[in-house]
Amino acid sequence: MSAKVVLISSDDEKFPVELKVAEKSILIKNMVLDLNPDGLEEDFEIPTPNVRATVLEKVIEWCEHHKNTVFPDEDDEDAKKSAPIDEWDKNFLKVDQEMLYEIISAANYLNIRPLLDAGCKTVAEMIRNKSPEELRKIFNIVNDFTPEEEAAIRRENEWAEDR
Amino acid sequence: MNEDLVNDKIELAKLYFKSKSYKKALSTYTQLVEHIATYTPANVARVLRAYNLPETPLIGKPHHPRLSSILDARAATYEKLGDVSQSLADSQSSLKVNPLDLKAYLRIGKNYLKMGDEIKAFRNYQCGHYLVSKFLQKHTDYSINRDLLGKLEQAYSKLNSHLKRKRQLQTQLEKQLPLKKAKKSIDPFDRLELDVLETIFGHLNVANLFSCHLVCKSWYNTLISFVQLYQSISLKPKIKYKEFLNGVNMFNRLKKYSLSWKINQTSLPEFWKIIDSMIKHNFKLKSLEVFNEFNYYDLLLKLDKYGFKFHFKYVENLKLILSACPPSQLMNLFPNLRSMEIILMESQASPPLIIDNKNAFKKLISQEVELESCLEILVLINKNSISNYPPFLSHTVNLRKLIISNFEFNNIQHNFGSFLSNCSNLKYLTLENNRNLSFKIFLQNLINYRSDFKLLKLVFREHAIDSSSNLAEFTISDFHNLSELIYLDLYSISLSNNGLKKFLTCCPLLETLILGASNFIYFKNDSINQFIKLNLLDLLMVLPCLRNLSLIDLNLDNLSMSYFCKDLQKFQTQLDYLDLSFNNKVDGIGLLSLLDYDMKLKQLILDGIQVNADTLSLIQSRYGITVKNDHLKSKWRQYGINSFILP
Repeated sequence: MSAKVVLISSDDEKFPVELKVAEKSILIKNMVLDLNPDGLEEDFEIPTPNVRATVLEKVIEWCEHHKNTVFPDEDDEDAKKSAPIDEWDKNFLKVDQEMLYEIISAANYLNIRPLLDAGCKTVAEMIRNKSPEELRKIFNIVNDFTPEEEAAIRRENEWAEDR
Repeated sequence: MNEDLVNDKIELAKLYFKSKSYKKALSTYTQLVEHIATYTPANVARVLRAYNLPETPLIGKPHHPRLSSILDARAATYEKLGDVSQSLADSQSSLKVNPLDLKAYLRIGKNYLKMGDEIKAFRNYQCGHYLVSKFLQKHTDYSINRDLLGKLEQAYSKLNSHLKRKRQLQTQLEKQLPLKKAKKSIDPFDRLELDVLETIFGHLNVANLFSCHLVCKSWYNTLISFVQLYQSISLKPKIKYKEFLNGVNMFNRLKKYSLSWKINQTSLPEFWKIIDSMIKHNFKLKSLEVFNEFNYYDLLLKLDKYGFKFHFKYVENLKLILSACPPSQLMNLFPNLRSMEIILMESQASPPLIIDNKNAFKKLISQEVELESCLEILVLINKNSISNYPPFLSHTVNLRKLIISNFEFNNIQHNFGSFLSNCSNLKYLTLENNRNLSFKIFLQNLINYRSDFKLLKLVFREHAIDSSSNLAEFTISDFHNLSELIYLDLYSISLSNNGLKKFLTCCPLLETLILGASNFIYFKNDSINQFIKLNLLDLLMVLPCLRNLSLIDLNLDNLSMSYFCKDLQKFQTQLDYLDLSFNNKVDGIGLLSLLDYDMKLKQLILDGIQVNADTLSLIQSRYGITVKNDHLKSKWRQYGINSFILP
């Protein structure tokens, strides 16, 4: 058995992961490279102090699925923006909001761009073409504007083309 | 204290209680309780024998036969004195030794209800109910106070049904208010980092962002801080100045950053008010597109009003419809343009320009635009009915795309040549409907001025063709600027058949070729005249990469179609798009004879031709080709329209 990366969740659960899978996280990839310049000889423990075990498990599931996926160029912002969410990712991210946000935060912290992008797009889709009232319902938010403030913002919105 | 004394004291305490001397009753009962507590098990046994009771009870512990009633009486006294917890304690200690103390259960239940603890009261009743009923099942001959038992059962079932109703009500309530139950809905602004939020909202357009502004204060304030999201803003069509002002607050918060603006169909007075406000607030514009025609001098007057202090130096992308404008001055006004698209309109007689800040103006106009101008795209369309000379800007080394349409070139062809020779990065060139600039003169210019650009796309459509050229005076190596062309549009060109054949040999990479409306290009057809006619094969042979071919309005007929078919059969071609619009002598018969080869055609365009609908659907189904046929169309693409599309 080759040496593994052992991720430790905030609640102290250990997840031994193949290096190839763990390397989907640029943070981990760099850490492994920096601290083991000659390659992994024994299991290497990395604590992820702000990721809960249930979330870390999901993130590893994603990395496992995508271990052979080649993602398009990092720099091509436009291509990334317009690309639709991968079907598998879409289903993978069908979780409650709490879990979704935690996955996004974990992907951000661990620097897993494609997962972060898929998560951000998923939240963007929840917001797209919704009225303010619908948005408040979706995210359980109380309207704290006075009617006057609300009217002022509505006027502010009047000048832009509606698209 | 003997047993008689105990009984007497009990009677005394009862009298105190009845006469409402609760404190005296309490102290007497307490004496009794303390007294009984001193009894040894042997003493207890003796008393029990005296009362004719078994020494060990059927349930519970051996205890003084009057203890339960003493404790209950003291509990009642405590109640009267308002000490519920002591009362509870007495009832409970009674139950410890005598689990069949029905009064204790009732009193505990009553007191818990008094304290508002329905659950504890219920558990107490439930406990009494089960214990007693189980005991009675075992000991059927035991005489119990039926009256008290009935009260306990009643209290138990009453509280039971009350709690049941309450539970039902609760679940109903939860169903009606799902938010309270589903904790799944969470404000992302509470959970996600700011950079992540900015990425999320970067996927949404301005209309969606504005909808989000209205959700709540924290959304509004956070979103507004993501200035990057608001860089490209189109003002709505026909915007009123008043509406614009409402947005100014927001612009002000964003103004440090570059904005992209589109102004569209707004009335002229409103438009100038907007421009005025823009100058006053010193907005940094990155892109300005105005689809309102306005007078250049009015713009200068506006700038003059503010002493020419406002400048457009952040503008990279400019689209304007102007009258009375020298575009070279525009380069001074907008010195950092990457793309300039100008439609020059008819100038109305404007009053002479009177500038207050003459020096500032002079300085602005005379300042040298940087030698390495970043201009990459230049589009100049003349909509004046009187002929206008095109402005040839200097320092356009980075120009990649150039469109000049509808200008007069008489006597300035050489200026154009030297202008072109500076543009060594030019890739896309469109020259359309310009007077006195024939294709031959254009080619001659390329040679004379030794331009070294390599075009990828060339559109050359002449204004009027009265003679043709066979390009006899040129050699193929003269066309080195055009040797990498992949797109060539020569709709309306003054080339003869031979001229065309010769020219095409210089661009072997061509994928798209458009020919049309040329009086001197003849393909083989049914009509008889003295000209040598072209074979399609002549084109195909020199253009091996050709995929899209348009032959518009070229007098093709059914016979031409069968010639085409033969040629296409002879030469393996990649052709998959063929446009034969406005060859109105072609009909269904011709089309069927055209397609009678092993072809790979995917699209066939037949606008302006009358073809039977059944024939068209037959072609579609038999050959799997997409056919487009709008027979009412009267004209193919017109000059100026393809190159500069107005909204």
